[in-house]
Amino acid sequence: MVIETNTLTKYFNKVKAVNEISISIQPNTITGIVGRNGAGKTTFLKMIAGFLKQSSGDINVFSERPFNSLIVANNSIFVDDEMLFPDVLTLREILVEGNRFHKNWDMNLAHKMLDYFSFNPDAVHAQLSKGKKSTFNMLFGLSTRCALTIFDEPTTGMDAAVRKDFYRVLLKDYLAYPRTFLISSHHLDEMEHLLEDVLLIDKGKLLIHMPIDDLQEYAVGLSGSALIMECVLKDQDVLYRETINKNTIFAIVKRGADVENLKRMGIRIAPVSPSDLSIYMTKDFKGGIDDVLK
Amino acid sequence: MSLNKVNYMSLVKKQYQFKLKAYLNVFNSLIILQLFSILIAFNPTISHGMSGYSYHGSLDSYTADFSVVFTLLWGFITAFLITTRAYREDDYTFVTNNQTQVWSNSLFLLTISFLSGLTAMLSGSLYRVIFYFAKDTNEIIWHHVTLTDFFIGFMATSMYILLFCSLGYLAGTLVQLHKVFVFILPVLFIGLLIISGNAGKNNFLVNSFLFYFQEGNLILFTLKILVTSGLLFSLSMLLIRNKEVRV
Amino acid sequence: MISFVVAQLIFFLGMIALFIVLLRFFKSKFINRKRNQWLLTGYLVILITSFTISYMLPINDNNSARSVRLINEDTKIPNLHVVPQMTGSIEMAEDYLVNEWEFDFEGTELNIEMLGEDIISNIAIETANLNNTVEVGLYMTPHIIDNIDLTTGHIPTANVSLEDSKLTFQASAPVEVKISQVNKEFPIRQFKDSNYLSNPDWGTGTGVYEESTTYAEDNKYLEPVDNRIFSTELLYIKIPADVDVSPNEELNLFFVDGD
Repeated sequence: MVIETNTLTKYFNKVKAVNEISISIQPNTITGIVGRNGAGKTTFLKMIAGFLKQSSGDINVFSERPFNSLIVANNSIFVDDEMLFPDVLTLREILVEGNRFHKNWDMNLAHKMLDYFSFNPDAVHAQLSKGKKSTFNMLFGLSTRCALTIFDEPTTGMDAAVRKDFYRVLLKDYLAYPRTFLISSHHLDEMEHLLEDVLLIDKGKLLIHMPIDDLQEYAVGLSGSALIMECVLKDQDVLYRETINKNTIFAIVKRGADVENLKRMGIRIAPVSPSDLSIYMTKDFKGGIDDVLK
Repeated sequence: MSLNKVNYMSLVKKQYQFKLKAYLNVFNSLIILQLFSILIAFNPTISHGMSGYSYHGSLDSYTADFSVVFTLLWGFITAFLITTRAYREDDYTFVTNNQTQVWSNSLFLLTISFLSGLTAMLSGSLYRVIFYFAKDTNEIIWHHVTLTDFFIGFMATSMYILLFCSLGYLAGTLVQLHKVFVFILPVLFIGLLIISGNAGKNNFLVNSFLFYFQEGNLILFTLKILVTSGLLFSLSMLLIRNKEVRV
Repeated sequence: MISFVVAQLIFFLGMIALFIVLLRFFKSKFINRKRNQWLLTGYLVILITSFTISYMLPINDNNSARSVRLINEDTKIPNLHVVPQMTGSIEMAEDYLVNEWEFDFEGTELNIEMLGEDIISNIAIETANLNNTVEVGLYMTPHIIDNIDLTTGHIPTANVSLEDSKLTFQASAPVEVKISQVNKEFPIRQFKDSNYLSNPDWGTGTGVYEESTTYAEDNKYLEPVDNRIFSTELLYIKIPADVDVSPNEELNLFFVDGD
């Protein structure tokens, strides 16, 4: 186990940003962290990185408490869009520093990526555009080859082409040099092909933690006439329901129901992608955006 | 994947070397300050006018003290600055924790104390050279700075700067712990000044000031300051140990 | 003293504000590392050059026409206001004789008159074994600030004449003396000077000096006040035994025994 938490909780003022999360993450895996803005993903990840201290509960990274731990600092890297690099250093010089601090640093990879993404090595980080900053932060994080590499919404501002490249280089480098990746993103649908596990967090609480294959099979979407749906849903594990119009109800239920039977009843069945699933599961049951426009 | 072990001292050294490059900007303000201080040093610090039987006269005393004093202030402010969020978090992009950070910051401040002490003394030389060529129809009495004097001045000035750096660092640490110190510290300082002004001889501020200022033995003086600064930095380390980053 | 400290405080705060403004300006555009390095190197070059030059300049010795004498701290300077009264003669202060005049005189009465704005109101009269001669001696002690004798080489001239029974004394026009001194920085003085704390240049007020003693009544020597010693002057007139000196209420005339 590279990361283990037990009822990990973090308060900010009086609000529980992280609410009793207990998980364990195996080494050399890629885990996606999903959830709404403000769900607590970043707080959770920052505790793992050792930046924040928990309010209660336990957390161990590399079998050590991460806060102030040099082992954790030395063997992990936290990449987000607020990463600060010194004003005075050029990109080239930043890479040199990365090399000095991180034993596994691959300068070859770093320079090749710098080239590929059309960076001027003598540019200053603070003067890059948002998308370029994210790109640089990403290539910096990858080049460290740290045993634990954390990406917190790394694709902010990146265009689709760059995002694609990012996923590709991430996967390839992971296969060549296995390590533990934690990636939080809003683009779960784009990343599905490279994730192994998914962690869904909502309002500080852990909703789901399972391999992505299982998640793809986790639930089904049912829709049908209101009368029939009401009947059927009584026996199901309902994760989400929505009244589309007077006669139609849409619901998401845990897989396990008798599919054939439901079809005969006239209910339409559709798979639910992990991306959609996470959206629906984290909605406040107050209707959809359409209700706002009524 | 096997974990990389950490050598504490070698990490501190790496951070220190990093800071020597990354914090280079601080010297910009030093240059401006020292040049400015040379400028204002052309006002006499004291002008005595006197007259007696059949003569009138004046004695203007000049000194390059301003270079030293401004550099002290600069040391304080620089030390304070490197405790602020932007500088602190730069370290976390690489490898650090609260303790190693204080170590590398202290070493950095020690280094700039000596560097700025040297430039402070050298700017005194610059001042004298300008004074010689530019000034005065009066007769000039030069209190010449010998090489020994220069070395003594360099050591003493560097130590004073180090002391101010450690004070600035502690002040910055306190402010990081709680914003309220931004108000408390200046109020405290001014309050102390006022009380000392009224208290006559036996008061804390003057006596602690004299503890360093009246020491006539360079070695003892150096020791006093090294110990004091060491204590102040240790206190800062103690206070900052639970501070979170990137909140 | 307190208002002086406050003024200095305001001055420093103003300087800090100025410095912060300059810092902001500097941070905005000049971040470029190359430029930074050039700036620093340039500055260091200037500094080291001036350092070398400063040791080649003839500022070790005084290159002015009139050299200024530095007074040793231990030198005791007689207080001409009290010496004649206390010792009965002027022997103690012989070193400070600045000028002297001699006149033939056969009268029995002497009036002393001072003309002009610079008046010496300290006149000692000794009845000595003189035959028809009047001797006048002008004594002056130096004006000392920071161990510098500002009156070095200054010989006050005067018009002295004796006509009928009037001895007139008129000081010539005052001499202008202007001196500048360049002190060492305080960290040097801290370890080289013994009494640097009482140097008024440092501007520290409130009880940092040693207690300045007032003029002790029984002290023949002058004591420094704030590292300054004011000059004293004296006119010492020796007259024959049979001469009377008319009292003069405007001047401080007194008689002295002599040996």
